Amino acid sequence: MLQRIGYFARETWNSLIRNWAMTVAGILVIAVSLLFLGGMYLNRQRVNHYNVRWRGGVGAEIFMRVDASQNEIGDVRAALDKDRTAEGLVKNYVFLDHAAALAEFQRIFRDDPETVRSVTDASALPESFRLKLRDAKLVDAVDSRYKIMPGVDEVVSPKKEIHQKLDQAAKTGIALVVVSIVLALAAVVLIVNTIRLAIFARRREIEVMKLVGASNWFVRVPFMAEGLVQGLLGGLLAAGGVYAIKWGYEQWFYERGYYITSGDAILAAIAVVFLGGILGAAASAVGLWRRLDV
Amino acid sequence: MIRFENVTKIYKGDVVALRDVSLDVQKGEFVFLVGPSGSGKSTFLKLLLREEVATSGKIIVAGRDVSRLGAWKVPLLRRNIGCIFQDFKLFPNKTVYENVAFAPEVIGRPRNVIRTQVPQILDLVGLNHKADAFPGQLSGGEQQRVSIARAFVNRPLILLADEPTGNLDPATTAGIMKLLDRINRTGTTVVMATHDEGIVDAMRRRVVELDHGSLVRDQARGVYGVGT
Repeated sequence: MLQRIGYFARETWNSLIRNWAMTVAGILVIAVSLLFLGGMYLNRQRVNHYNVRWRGGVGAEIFMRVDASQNEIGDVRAALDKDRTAEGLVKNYVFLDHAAALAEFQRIFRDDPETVRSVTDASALPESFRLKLRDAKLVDAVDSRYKIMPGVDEVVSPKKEIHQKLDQAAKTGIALVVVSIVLALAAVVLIVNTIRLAIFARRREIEVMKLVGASNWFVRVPFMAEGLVQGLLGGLLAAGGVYAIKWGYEQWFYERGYYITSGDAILAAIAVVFLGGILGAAASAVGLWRRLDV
Repeated sequence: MIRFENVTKIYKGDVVALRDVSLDVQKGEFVFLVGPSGSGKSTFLKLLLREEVATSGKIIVAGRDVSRLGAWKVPLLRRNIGCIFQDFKLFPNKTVYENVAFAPEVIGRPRNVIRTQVPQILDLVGLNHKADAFPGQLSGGEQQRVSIARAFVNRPLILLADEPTGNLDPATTAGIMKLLDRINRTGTTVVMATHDEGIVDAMRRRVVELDHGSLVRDQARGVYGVGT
C-alpha cells in the first residue's frame, strides 16, 4: 500500500513538474477565482456584523465619548426621558454601559479569542444609547438634537447607512460571484488541458501499463491526483489571500463597526480550499472522460 | 487455453476483419499465425487482449469469456497474456532493469518479489550483464530480449508475439526464436503472428493461416506456403 502511495505521489509530482507552466497557470487562475469568492463572503460578513447593532427595531445609536462624564451621560438620559412622550421623538431606549459594550464586543468576536483578549479594559469602549424611534423619519431630528450635546461623540442611524452598505455589498457580491464563476470555468478548462497533455506525454507508458494488466484505477489515479493537487494548491493560495484581505482591510480601510472576525476568515479559508479541491477533481474527471477507457 | 467460436469482427464502415473464425489452442501449444497484411492477424490478437470486442461469436481466453468481461476485469485478463511487438515498445529513458521491473510494478507486486524476479528473468533472456544499460545502447535483438523479459516477468499463461522478428536480421531472429521456444517449453502458450517463411518452415509447429478474415488453413506441423 505504502509502495503504491509512493508511486502515485512520484508520478503526480513528475507530471506536474514536467508541465510546470500549465500547472502554474491552472493554480493561479483557480486561486484568483476562489479569492473573489472569499472576498465576497468577507464583505458580506462585514456588513452583517454591523447589522447586529440594528436588530430589534433600533432606529439610532448615540455614542458617548469614551471620556464622557457621568453628568454628561445623565444629561443625555434626562433629555431622552423628556423626549419619550407622545409627541416626542423617542419610543424607547436602552443604555449600554461599558460592561454591556464589552459583552457585545465579546459576543461579536466570540470566535476570535485574540481580539477579545486585546480589550480587557471595558472603559476603552464607548457607552451608548440605543433608541427606538416613534417614527423612522425622525432620525434627522434626533441627529441634530443630540449631536450637539456635551459628551456625545456621534449619532449613528442605520437607515441611510445600512441600506447603502447592504445594497453595495449585494451589488459587489453579485459582480464578484459572476467573475469568480467565469474564472472557475477558465481554470477547469486549463486543468483539463493540462491533464490531456499529461496523458499524451505518457501515452507509451499508458499503453504498456494496459497491456501488462495494470488496473484502470492504477492508470488513472496519478492524473486524477494531478487535477486535485492543482485545485488544492489554488485553494491554499486563495486561503492565504483571504487572510491578506482581512489584514489589509484592518490596516487601511477599517470603518467603525464593520468587522471581519477570525471566524469569518477561517470559514472562508476552509471553504476556498475545499472548493479548490472540488474544482480540481471535477476538471480531472472531465479531462479523463473517455480517455483512459479499456 | 484459447477458444474462438464462430467469431466475426466487423469494423465501422462494414470492413470485415474476421469472418466466422473457429479455433482451439491448447495449453502449451506454439501456434504461428500467418497470412498477408490485412488478413486479420492483428484483429485476432486485439480480440484476445480485448482491445477490440467481437461483433459476434464467443472468445474464451484462460477460462474467461472475453466478450462478457466487465471493464474492471479486463486488466486481470491481460495479466495472463504477455505481449511483444515488432517495435519493442521499450522506454528509452529507463534502464533495462527498470523497463522489465515496470511490468510487476504497475500491477502492484511487492518490491521484494520484483527484486528477485527481474534478475531471474534477465538471466533467462541472457541480459543480466546489461541490466543498467539503456535501450538505445543495445542491439535490436537485445532490445527484443528485454521486451520478452518484460512480457514474461509476470509469468503469463499466454505469450502473444506480433511480428517479433520483423526488424531483426536472420541470425538474431534465430536467437529470439530459440528464446520463444524455451519459454514455450515452460508450458506457456505462444501465439506468434509472422510473415517470416523461414522461421515457420524451420520450426515445424502448428500453423494457422488467415486470408481476408477467413481461416483457410490449420495444420498441426505446417510450413508457411500451402502444399510445399
